[in-house]
Amino acid sequence: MNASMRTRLIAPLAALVTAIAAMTIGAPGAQSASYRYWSYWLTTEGSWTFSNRGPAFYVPADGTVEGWRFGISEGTSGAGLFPRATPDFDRICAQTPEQSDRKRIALVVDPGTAAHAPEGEIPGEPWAMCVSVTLRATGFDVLRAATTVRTQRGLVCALTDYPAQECAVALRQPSPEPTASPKPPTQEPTPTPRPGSTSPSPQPQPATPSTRTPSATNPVAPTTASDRNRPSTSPTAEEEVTLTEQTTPPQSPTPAPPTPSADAASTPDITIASAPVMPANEGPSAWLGVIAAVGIAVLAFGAWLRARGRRL
Amino acid sequence: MTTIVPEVRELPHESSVVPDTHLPAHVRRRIFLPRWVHPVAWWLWALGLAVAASRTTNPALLGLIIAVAGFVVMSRRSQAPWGRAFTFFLALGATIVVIRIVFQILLGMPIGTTVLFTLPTIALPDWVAGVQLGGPVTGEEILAGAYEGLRLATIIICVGAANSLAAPSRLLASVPAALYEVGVAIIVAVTFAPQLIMDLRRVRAARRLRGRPTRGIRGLGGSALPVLEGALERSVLLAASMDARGYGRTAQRTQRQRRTAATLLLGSLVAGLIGTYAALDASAPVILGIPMLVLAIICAITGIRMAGRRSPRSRYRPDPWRFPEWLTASCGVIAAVGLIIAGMTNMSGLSTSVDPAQWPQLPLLPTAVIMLALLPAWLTPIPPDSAELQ
Repeated sequence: MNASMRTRLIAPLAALVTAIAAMTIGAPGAQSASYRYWSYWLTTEGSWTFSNRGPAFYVPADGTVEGWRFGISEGTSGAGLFPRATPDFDRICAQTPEQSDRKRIALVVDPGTAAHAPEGEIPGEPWAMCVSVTLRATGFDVLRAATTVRTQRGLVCALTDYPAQECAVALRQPSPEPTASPKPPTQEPTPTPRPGSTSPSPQPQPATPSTRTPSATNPVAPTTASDRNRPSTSPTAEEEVTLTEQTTPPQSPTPAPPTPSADAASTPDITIASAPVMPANEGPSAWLGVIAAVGIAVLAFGAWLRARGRRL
Repeated sequence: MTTIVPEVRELPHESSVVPDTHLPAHVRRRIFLPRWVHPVAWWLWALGLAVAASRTTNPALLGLIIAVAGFVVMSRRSQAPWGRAFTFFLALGATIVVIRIVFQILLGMPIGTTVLFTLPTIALPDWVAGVQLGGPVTGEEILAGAYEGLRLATIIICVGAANSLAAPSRLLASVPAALYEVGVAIIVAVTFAPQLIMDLRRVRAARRLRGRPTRGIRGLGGSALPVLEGALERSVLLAASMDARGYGRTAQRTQRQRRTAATLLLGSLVAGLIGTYAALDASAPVILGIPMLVLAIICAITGIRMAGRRSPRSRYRPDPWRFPEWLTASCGVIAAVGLIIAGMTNMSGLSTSVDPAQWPQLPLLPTAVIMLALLPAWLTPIPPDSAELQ
């Protein structure tokens, strides 16, 4: 009697466990999440290296080239998504004079390709800028000096208001093949860390002892489709604003000053900005905030009246 | 103020508390006659607002949520002591915002360029590179800290609103029968906590009269023992009286019933665990997320119902669940769902940019659903003790 009861009860429990196990194992477990975010790159020996450190915790030395690239990649190590421009400090900083109490950082910002853009948004052209900052400035200060940065919960969400709304979103579908940046042939498959939540910390994750040296590296220097040796100089600020509105990059007739890498034949097509790149649109106007404040005040006054026992 | 509530309670005259609307008389009486609104309805309303608050850092929306909660509380709170909990929670919220800003100043990551002042930096070893102590303090950083703190404060103020709207004893009276023993234990604890403080005061006064120390370790030791002794005596007395009144009687159930209930509850825990993990982990398969959570809820409801058959009790004057309860609960649920939908569709204005600092927006859908939560301030009956005062 008792034994038969037990077997009858074990059956549903076993069924439940089996169902859970089947769901866990049988489901597509190999499917890993991809994320769409701005990844942060540094250079070692002339090629891009993914930075495991957040920009706020890295103080670049004078003469460093920093890169930012927006796109979809598997995991949070920016696999294959380095900026599509050669990290060439001498070319980007040719026009910026050296100063004794400041350091010069070459910054390359690449909004990526249209295939990786959020729905309804058009990525801008890649641009570079030689940022002159104080000696103690971090990578985040450099970025902040060059363009507007939207941050949320310690993540870098948008540069120059691109993308407009989202912040390092996780995508369920596999990431599309990067179209314009060919993957280096020797690249190892990047280990995908399992993030603990829907909001991963791909960018300013604090460095752990083991990640002092970047782990995900792209050993091969990137090459882009356009290897034209286009002479470029610093456009004016007005031209820069039109550039952020996704028009054609300004074609300057002035020849570039001779740089050591000018004959390297790998200088990509990139605009060098002389002034901080600002988004075209302004923020929301103040009157919505005023309306909200008035509404809150009316409600608070009504609550006070009610607390005093008077009827509205 | 509350001490002059008359001892002999009379029902207030209907015209003084029932608004003069064009509804038929029996409908008006059903909606507006003074009675306690079901506490579960208030909790659903408040938790809905709290979920809505957790989805945004927009200070305009958060301020609206606090104002809406405050207005409803001031309109429908009880005159009992727990009805005054809301102001305490408001002060607690303000403290949370201040603490959050202080932590942001001390430990926060620098945001923005508007440096207000610079704190001395404490050099930390390289292996804690993620933490910075001191350093320049920017206005944007303080603003970000204030927004985050305001969000937490709003969530806590919503809980405070539920505390001052829903009578705790009535909430305990409507816990499911499976949790009957836990409910009784909580009621006993809640009732005895003030008595313990009274005991402590009495013992300390007696010690002072006898010239014994009331402060320090000696004073604490001397007064702790009599207080504990009194508490033990009282609990033995209470246990005896409860036993005499037939508390703790359990119905006869077969072993099979008990085991099925236990299996269902265990299964709901396991399914809930897997479902929560899968819902939060973006790389988990979709099938493990919401379906598992639904399975967990179904298992939990069935399991609690089956386990509840153990205590065959009728409920003494249960709170009714009528139109005002439906309205109150659905207002909270709509607010939560509205903000979750706005968050999932990446609606602009849910987060306010601090770098560069921008004015908060008033997105249409979130503002509308939050304002909808004001309705219980008018469309619920007045609590009986407030109606007496009018």
